[in-house]
Amino acid sequence: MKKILLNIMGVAGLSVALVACGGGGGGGSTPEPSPAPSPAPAPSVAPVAPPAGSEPAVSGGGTPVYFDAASGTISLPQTTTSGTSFTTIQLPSTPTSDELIMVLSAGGVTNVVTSGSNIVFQTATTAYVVTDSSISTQAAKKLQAGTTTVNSAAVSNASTAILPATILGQSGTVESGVLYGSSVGNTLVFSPYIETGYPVQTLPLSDCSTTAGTPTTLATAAYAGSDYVGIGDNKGNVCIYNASAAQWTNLTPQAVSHGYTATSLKSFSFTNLDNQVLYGYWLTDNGQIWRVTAHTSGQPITPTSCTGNSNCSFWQVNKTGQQTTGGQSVTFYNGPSASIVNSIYSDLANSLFVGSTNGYVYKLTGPNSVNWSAPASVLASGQAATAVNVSATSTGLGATAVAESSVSVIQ
Amino acid sequence: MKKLYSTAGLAFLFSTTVYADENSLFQNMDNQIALGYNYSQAKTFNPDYSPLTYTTNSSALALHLEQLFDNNLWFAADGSFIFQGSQTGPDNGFSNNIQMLGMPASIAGKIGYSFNFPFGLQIVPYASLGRQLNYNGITVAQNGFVNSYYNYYGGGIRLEYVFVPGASIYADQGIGYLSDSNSGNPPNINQDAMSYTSALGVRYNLFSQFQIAAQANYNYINLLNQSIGYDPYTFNHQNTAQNTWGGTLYFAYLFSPESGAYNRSITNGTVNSELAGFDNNYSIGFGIANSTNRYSGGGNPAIGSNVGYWNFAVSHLFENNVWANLNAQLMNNISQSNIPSGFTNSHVPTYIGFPGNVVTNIGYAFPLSSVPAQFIPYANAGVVMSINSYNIRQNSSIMNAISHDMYLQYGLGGRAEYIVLPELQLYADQLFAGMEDRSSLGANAWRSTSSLGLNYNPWSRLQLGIRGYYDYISPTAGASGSNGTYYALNQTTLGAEFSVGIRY
Repeated sequence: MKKILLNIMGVAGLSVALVACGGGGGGGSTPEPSPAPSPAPAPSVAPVAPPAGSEPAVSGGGTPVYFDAASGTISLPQTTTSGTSFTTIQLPSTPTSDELIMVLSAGGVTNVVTSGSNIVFQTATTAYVVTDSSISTQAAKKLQAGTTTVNSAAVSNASTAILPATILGQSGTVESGVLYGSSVGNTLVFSPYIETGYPVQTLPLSDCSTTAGTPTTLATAAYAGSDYVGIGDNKGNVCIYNASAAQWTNLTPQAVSHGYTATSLKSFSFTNLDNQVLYGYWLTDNGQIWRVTAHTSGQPITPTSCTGNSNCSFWQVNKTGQQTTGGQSVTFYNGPSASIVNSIYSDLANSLFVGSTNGYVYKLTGPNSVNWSAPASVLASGQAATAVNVSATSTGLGATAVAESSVSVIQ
Repeated sequence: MKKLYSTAGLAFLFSTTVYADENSLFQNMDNQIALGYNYSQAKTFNPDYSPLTYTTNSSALALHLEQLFDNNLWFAADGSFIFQGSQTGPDNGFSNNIQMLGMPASIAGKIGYSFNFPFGLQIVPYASLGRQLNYNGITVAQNGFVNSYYNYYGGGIRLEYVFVPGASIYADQGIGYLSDSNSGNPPNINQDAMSYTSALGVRYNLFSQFQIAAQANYNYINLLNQSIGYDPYTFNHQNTAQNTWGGTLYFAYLFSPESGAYNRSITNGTVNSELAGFDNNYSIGFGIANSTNRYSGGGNPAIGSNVGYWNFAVSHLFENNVWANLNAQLMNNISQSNIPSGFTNSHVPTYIGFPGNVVTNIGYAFPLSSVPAQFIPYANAGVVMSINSYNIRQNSSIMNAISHDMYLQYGLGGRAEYIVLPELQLYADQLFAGMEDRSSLGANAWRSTSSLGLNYNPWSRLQLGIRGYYDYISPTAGASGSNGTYYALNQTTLGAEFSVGIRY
């Protein structure tokens, strides 16, 4: 695949966590406080009720996106000045829209991702991308109000979530489609919208790491004028692809030197502080949450950005207690145990949200905090404990927490 | 009023006369070429974060050159390089910490004016310019070894009290600004700093041409940007200051008027003195060279290098025809082509002789009777540093590399000098030397250096020099690694040097 110029659609919707190495040292230049502080106040939870008669886009729930086949609409939470409620989007009368409604009705959608002004509905063979200005108020691209489009792209052997993307194609044209990781050849795949007729393009993960495995998680981010794709695999490799420069950066060796044990990745989350600092979080299958902080002061991330200099740090943010590496140390407090971490998401304020396996949400407020919050329940009254998925809100601040059919906005 | 003016004039005349007499008193202590041994302990620390403190104990070779001219102009040059050191700290590898500042080598020149007082006191305010290598876990990672240095701009004041002829005590206080070679390149950390150096010493002339001196030193370096002590985003701390205590023992050759070794070429008029006129000098020069490093096997293309370096030389022809020469080089810049990819290769040059060397030659001059010429067979010995991309990987820390990545050189050579014109000397030099590799790479080598040069004395004590040379270094055994990789250690160099010197 030639140079991929990524149009990051709704970065706020994507949570790709670069492992943060030993972060969270609030006031790190002072001696560790004794005794450990009490947990920070629990985040606020505002339940949001989906429209009557609608169903979750994924059978069994676990997604904040709902659909109503009868009216041909999809709904998702949106926060306005008057509060948070579900916004309903009328799908256009197109064959692709009809196809999407049929697939939703048949329960064929396996995953839904909100990314900027887009919602990606994933099936085993196709990705449907609904684009509408009301999906995100923080999208980089301002869409004309009232414009709703539905496109589709072919997918094959997708082993990660599917994200919307725009690339600079081989002939110099701008091509829109979707990005995903494929288990066939362990590749990053760009599949253009079917109607464009452009070819599918692939990049092998072996270009990043000689020990590359099957991709398991994918995220995109924009930072310091470049577009990035973060990819994790089932061998614990953490790779970043600079789509603007067509350059891979393998963060795994540096993370390992800071105590990371390479374990299959579950999800990624990127956030950006004024294009001066890039924060990346990644969650492993065994519940470790790592953060890499790249303080490159506006310079793009390169293969040497975190090699042998002081611009980066890697910390396991949910490991309670002091961590020391290479003379540096930090202590996190009251972190959620790895055994109960189910999902992660970081918002535009660089706060980290964790959805637990038993119905709770935790928050690490801001990038300089070392003290986690007390847990907040997102379960409905009488609801049995269940796993919580956290994802973006329409404003990019806070998180949307979904526990089966319970949807809440967390701040 | 007349009487007042007369008194003042007499006082000025008297003081001027006294100053001229006192000059020789101080020249007898100051005019020297000295070699010394320095031992220091440095603590590099963060005032707000003690766990990051590093302690570096080091041994260094110190070079000192000093001259007080008849017109009270004062000049000094000091160079040092660490040849052995040990370091303790939280992480002694190539960690991303500032383990030390302003190490392992430095060179500085001072120029001032000597105010002499009749009771043996000399006060010399001076300005100073120099360069200090600055190898630590931050600089070598973000700049590479070649670009990890400070430029020093400063000044100071020196007091010397000759309490009896041939013995003195002195104190020196310098203050300077250390300009990081890579400041202004975000996100690189800027290590600009202020440096304060205090010295207290005693000198004693054992013989008319030999002096020993002992000096205690204290240096304090403080980074200007203290905010790098803590990054609230990464939570990383860095050291921002350094205290260094040390002592130096000097052994000096005196070339003052009273020593009898001063300006012999003018006063004597013999062939030896004519040749000594060219040979007795110290100089600073700049060299440029083009080198090729070839592999001992494999198909990799040879590595090409364009090098610039500073050269400092002192030589002397004694009346008994013993000839001695001390030469020190410090690399200024290097650009290379065909470097294999990789972080280490891009940050550490593949070159024998980086970052510099110090070699000495001692021989005996055989002058010809019929022409103003002499032939000098000599013995050669020295230290050639070789921090390169191969042996750096064998080390566990930067200080380990500094202490081990070098060649000990020893050899024999011959030099022919011919005075073409009273102000022009032509010389040719050939050296053959063995090079013992002190790094764990064990790539011993031999070298041949052929030189042709001219020295020109256009005016008074000024001497200009130009030298062209061809240098060939070859490993004595095939240079390859245990995994079958080959090393580009077969080095050929064509270079030229231009120097400006002072006869003494």
